[in-house]
Amino acid sequence: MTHNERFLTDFAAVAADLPGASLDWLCRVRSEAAGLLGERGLPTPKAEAWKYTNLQPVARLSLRPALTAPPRPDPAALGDLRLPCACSRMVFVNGRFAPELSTIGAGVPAVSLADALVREPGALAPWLTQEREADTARALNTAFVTDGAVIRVPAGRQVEPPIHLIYLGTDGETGAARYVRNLIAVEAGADATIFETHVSGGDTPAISSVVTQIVLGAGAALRRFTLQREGAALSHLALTEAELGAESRFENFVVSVGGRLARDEIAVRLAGRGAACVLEGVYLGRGRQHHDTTTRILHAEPAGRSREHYRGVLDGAARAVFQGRVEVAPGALKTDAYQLNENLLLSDDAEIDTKPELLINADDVKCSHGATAGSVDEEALYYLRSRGIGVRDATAMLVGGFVGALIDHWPHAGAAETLRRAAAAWLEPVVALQEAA
Amino acid sequence: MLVIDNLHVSVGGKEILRGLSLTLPAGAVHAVMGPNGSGKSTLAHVLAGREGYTVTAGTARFAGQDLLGLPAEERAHLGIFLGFQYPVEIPGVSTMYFLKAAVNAQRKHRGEPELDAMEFLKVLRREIKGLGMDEAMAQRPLNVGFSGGEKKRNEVLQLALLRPKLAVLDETDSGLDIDALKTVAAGVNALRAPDRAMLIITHYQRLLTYIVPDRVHVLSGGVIVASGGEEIAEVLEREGYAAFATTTLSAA
Repeated sequence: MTHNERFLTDFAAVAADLPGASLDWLCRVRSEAAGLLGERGLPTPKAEAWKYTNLQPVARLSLRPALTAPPRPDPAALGDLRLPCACSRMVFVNGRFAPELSTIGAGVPAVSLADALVREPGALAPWLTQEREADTARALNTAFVTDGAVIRVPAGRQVEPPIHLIYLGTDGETGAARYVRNLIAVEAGADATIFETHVSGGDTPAISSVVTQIVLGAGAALRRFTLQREGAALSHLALTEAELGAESRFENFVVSVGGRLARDEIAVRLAGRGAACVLEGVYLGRGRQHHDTTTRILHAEPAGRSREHYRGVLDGAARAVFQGRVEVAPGALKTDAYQLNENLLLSDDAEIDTKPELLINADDVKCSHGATAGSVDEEALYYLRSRGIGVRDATAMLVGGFVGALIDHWPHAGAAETLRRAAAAWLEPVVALQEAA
Repeated sequence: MLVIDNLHVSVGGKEILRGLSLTLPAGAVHAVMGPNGSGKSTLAHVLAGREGYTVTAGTARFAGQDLLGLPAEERAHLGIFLGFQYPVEIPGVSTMYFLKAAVNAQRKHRGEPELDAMEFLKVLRREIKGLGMDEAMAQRPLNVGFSGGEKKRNEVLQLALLRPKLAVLDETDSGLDIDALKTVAAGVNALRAPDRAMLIITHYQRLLTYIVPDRVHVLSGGVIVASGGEEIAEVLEREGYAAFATTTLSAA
């Protein structure tokens, strides 16, 4: 059986047990997605968007999601995942909502996708029956999705405190794939902050697929922070699609430390006049990790503003990809776009492929980009060493500072602190490796 | 305490120091003056252990120990401190974190217990106050966005916190207005001690009005061309380096 055939047989085996199996429209959407997969398979490096990230090892993994009730982790196990601030919390274990681990404040407009498919399927149909799939990696999620967060912030509302979404993979079910779909609508003038934690353990290779669809109404604001700390054997495929209304503001911050293969793909459409987006992130790789950050920003209307800044630290034989595409549509005058990708390579075997791509079809716009890759600043290292700080600690300080300088100004103190701590924890073994070298 | 003998140093194949000899006894404050390109900064960095310098001949011994083979951090552990002419900006590392790491790295090396956050803060506050600095600077990223004067004060703050046996101050006066210069000089003077030697490297006589050296050396073309008392600085002030430009300046 080829991989492509296996997509169809795996889908056929679980289709009847997937959430929303009684909804004809959803079954059709899922079947079409599975059909697309059966026909084309997962994207290959021949596709421009996947040129530097090979999914063929992923295609060999088990595609079936876990459908039996997952083992419930002790709530205490969530301890170190909690944010240092009050927040509503939705916990998903192996791709399924775990209400007993979750605390959603009264009036917080968040439910699980599986529940929403039972209670208000009609409201979800427009989200899930959108135009054709962007690619078959997305189709994979559509075919098998089991759950996710549905958050709808009504016009003018401010959701406070933040909503923390925790996606937990438990050791007991490694090997089973996880498929999550989040649907987030922040209506006109509303405001929300969301923190996502993706974490798993175990050494069994598995797929963790997350697709998040975001729609911001006019003047809405969404700040989203993500910590990706998947297990070392995981393939984490994240896709975020955001549609921004006039004068709305979408800020997306991510720290990626986990996974064997991790792709963070973000497609933002500035669909209303004067919309703004900020995409910032840090990816830290070691061993044979592969981090792919792919962003596509479309300035469709005038006076949009986009800011991108990603920093990577790569050790061992880790590899990272940064593909940043900025497209300015005809008529999107006064667009202001800026992109920067900076990389610190701690070993000779580490590798970065960075590819900015500006497609400008309008006059009177301001677009710039930059990319750097290098080792630790020798002058800074010397300064620290001249104060008696050993080369190992001095290197750690510089790498920590490189990462921290970006994270520290992220607009939520608790989130920034948590993400900086996660980055610092990642750094410790790097330092140990350097000491051994 | 510091004995430099016939030191020859090249950078990128070009010889910068050409047989420099200098002896600095414990407790003494010596000035090294020289025009641009005379090798002043090279001397400072060769003593501090910057990489990229090739020593082709000569020695530099500190308290009897050969310095030139040691990495920068080990020289710091021996008690050598360089006040940088251009302190390096390090984004993302708070000044406080850096200072504490430096102090504790040296304490650890001496076998003393490391200071905890509270203990360190107490010491830091005392020194910051003594230098007329703003405590808020400790929270800022190291040297990032600091004015020239703030950077130099930060160097003297480190000198005060680390209490080295040998302080080499490289152009500590550059970029300072007169008030900042007086404060920095007062900070340095307060650290003069019988067991602490200082080497003040400067282009201008101005600093030496405030930090009065025991001896002045004129560096030109990579060698010391004159040594003497304060009167040398005065000659320089009056007549410029041309007064000492004998044979080697043209080659610098």
